[in-house]
Amino acid sequence: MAPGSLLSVLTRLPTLASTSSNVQLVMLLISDSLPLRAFDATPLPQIDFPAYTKPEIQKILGLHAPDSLYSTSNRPDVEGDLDPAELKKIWNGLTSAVIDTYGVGMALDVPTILKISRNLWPEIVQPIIDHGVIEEETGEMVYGRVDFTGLFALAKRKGLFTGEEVLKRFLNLNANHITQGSFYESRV
Amino acid sequence: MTFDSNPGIARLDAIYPCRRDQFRMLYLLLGDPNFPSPPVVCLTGFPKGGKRSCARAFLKETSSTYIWIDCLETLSPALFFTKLVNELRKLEDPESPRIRLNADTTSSVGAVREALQSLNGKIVLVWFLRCTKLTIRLLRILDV
Repeated sequence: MAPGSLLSVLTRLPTLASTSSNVQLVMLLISDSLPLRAFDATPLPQIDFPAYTKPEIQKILGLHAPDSLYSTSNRPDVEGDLDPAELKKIWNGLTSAVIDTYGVGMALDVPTILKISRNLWPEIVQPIIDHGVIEEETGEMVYGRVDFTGLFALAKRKGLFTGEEVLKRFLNLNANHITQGSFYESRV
Repeated sequence: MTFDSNPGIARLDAIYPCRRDQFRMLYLLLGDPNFPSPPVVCLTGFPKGGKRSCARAFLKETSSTYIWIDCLETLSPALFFTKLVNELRKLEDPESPRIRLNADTTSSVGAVREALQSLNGKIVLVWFLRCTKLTIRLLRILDV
């Protein structure tokens, strides 16, 4: 049998199992596109996974919102952090800005947008950390009311969302993908 | 148990949001172990749309018996059938020795039939066709 008919053979494998009454073989074919030629254009049950819309991407990224202003390498000297709700609000603002800046025209996927957002997070929240004050009674660090528009304006002034920085960040990310493998693969 | 009342589906929906319709379809087509499924089901969509993770999570959550084969690990029919037959044999006996098939597809199909004889229930064979440039080139060479 010619190797060219491999896919046709595979799709007919379930009929082998039908000769035995105890077992049923179901073939689940996962692919970017449907190789219709192999099926002689026979209609098959097909489940389509459409591309995510912006609100859907944000909903997914919302599951990965950071639980602290600080990272493991940048622990604070004094106790205290922002409320989780405030952190989520900043995170949502950041992911929205990342999608609008990097996603449009580049068709970025969810793992890439997540990686860019995580890379930007420390720089975005640095002004909040800088303006934290120690409360005398509790000895904890407290932070003022956070407005994402202001943070975004500061980040833009630093060039995080404009000019060469965008391109550099994206190129660095691609280089990391090549050297370290796909981020998506590591998640799965 | 219906789709909406299934706690496993609720868990999947929480981990993989925005893919409820796809899980519903998978549940309808593969969810009931006693109800026959279509012989072939295709999952299609853009890369990184969650096809693979959703399928794997669904099969795990519904405790389905499945064999996962990645086309990049099985570039030739011989490699594919060797992997398939060994996985089928493992379902019956995890300690069964590995066998190696030759390039003859007809005898490989016979080996699959033989391996299926001693099995029961519904077995989902997942074939992940990764359409990288290399795969597309190989498929063209193989005329698949």
